[in-house]
Amino acid sequence: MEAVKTEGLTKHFYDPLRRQAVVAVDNLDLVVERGEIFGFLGPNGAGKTTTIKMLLGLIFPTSGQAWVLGNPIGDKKTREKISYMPENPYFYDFMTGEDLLLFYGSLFGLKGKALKDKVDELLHLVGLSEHRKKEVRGYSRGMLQRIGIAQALLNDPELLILDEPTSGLDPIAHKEVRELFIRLKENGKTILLCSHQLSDVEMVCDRVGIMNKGKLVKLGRLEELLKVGEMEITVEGLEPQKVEQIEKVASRVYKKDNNYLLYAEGEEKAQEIIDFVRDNGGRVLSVVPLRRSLEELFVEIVKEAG
Amino acid sequence: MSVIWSIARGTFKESMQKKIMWVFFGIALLIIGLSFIFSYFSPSEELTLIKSIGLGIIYLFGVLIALIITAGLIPTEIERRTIHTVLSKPIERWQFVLGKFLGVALVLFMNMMLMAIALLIVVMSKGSARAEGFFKALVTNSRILEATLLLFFYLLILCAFAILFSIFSTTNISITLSAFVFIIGSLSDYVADIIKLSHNPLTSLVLKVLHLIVPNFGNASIYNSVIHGYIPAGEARYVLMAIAYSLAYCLVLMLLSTWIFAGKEV
Repeated sequence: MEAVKTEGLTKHFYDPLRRQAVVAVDNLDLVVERGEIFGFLGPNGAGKTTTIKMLLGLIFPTSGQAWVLGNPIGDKKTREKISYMPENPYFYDFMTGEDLLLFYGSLFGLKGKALKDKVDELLHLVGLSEHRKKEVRGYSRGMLQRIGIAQALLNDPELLILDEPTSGLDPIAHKEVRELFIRLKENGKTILLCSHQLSDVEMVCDRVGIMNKGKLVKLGRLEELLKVGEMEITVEGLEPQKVEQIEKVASRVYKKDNNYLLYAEGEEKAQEIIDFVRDNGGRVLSVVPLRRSLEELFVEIVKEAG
Repeated sequence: MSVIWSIARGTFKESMQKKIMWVFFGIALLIIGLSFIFSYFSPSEELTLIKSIGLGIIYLFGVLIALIITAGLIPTEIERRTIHTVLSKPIERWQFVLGKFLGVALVLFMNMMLMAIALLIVVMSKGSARAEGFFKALVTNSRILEATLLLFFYLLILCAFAILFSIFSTTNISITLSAFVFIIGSLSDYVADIIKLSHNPLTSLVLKVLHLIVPNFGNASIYNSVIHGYIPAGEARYVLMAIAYSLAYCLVLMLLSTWIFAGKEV
């Protein structure tokens, strides 16, 4: 059973100024598997938050269907097992951090000592124990993110939907949150992560989906998407005339100190080069499949989609 | 039930932190306190006047609290997007609306009762206690609390209207519409007279519909009879009828509100 599944999920909004419907999400088919960290990416206005709001039952699809943890969207029982951290966490700022967690915990049906203990544990986890009695209106952006993460963990959720959870965090908190995501995944949790912090996504996500103008324009495993198909082979001890011969197979050749960097398009050509080097008295020091950064992929896809 | 109570408690706490409410409360207490200036009348006239004006002030500020605090509850949640985190938790939308309503009902009840207690203190200190003996005067004047309870239940209907309007409009529109309902409802008896006198069928139809839908806030004036003892002591029928009338209205309005809110996109 998938953590999230959508079939032809579509959302139109009526724009009164232009007197026409605006397509926010267009025929989205998406599957988020259980136990994975899924990066849900896209530029502003791509339709990510609209999709999330549909999954949470805050807004309703114009057409199409969606399931969360195997149940149709909007199901109350399902919401017991999921948690949501909104972008720019808007919380009741008149409450203290502790009161806020006690309040949200009570909405999950937690009470008494169990609730208090859970709140203590989470405040400690996100490093806000010292600020528990401070009103949320006095919290910094980073502290708001931390309390947002804490409230998303109150119900020990199976699925966490996190919208920009690391924005505003300092580098140390950033790292701690990334490590937390990995720990959650190790404990079998599924995370749907919306973020513009592409380095975070690259470090923690198993798969990503990239949305643009309401459409899902790219979906796949991160290593597959980032692979450019070129291999970098570092060799030593190859004579210059042999290098000239290999230039017919390699796409590019560079000399670096006493070594050569040979680039091959695809695994077959790489193997051909490796065999040639070995047959001609050279030594292969390393073979590295080249990959681009997620940022490069993201920019390329969004530009392509126009 | 615990979910509804949690939302009600949160609403109560939030409302009690609003400056505007304390301004209303402070002004009301000030005016009730100023009742001491009525010293040119006979003692019994003076007490009658203080009670009438005091209850009128409690009613007026109750209306203001009911309108201004209630009308902003749900629109503010949507504007600030605090509603997203709440509704993503395992709660039903009707529980959210009911929790908001109960929260504001608590705010209104507490404010009105505190104002009533202030009025009771003024009346007692005006000599009523000395003339009748403390406990007898306390029992007699406790009708102030009974009358305030009566007014509270009438204003609960206004809160329910404000919640209903706020679900499909902004805070300001909701205040305006609720104020309109209150004015029409307060003039209910006059509206009935106009219907009888009207020769225009369209005007007559519109007024009949309004007369039918809008509660008769004019009935709340029964509080005068309650505080001045025209209704025999221990005759709880009037108060109970007013409570039943209010609760019936609130029930219908809450059903309508929750039904509309269930289909609202936030």
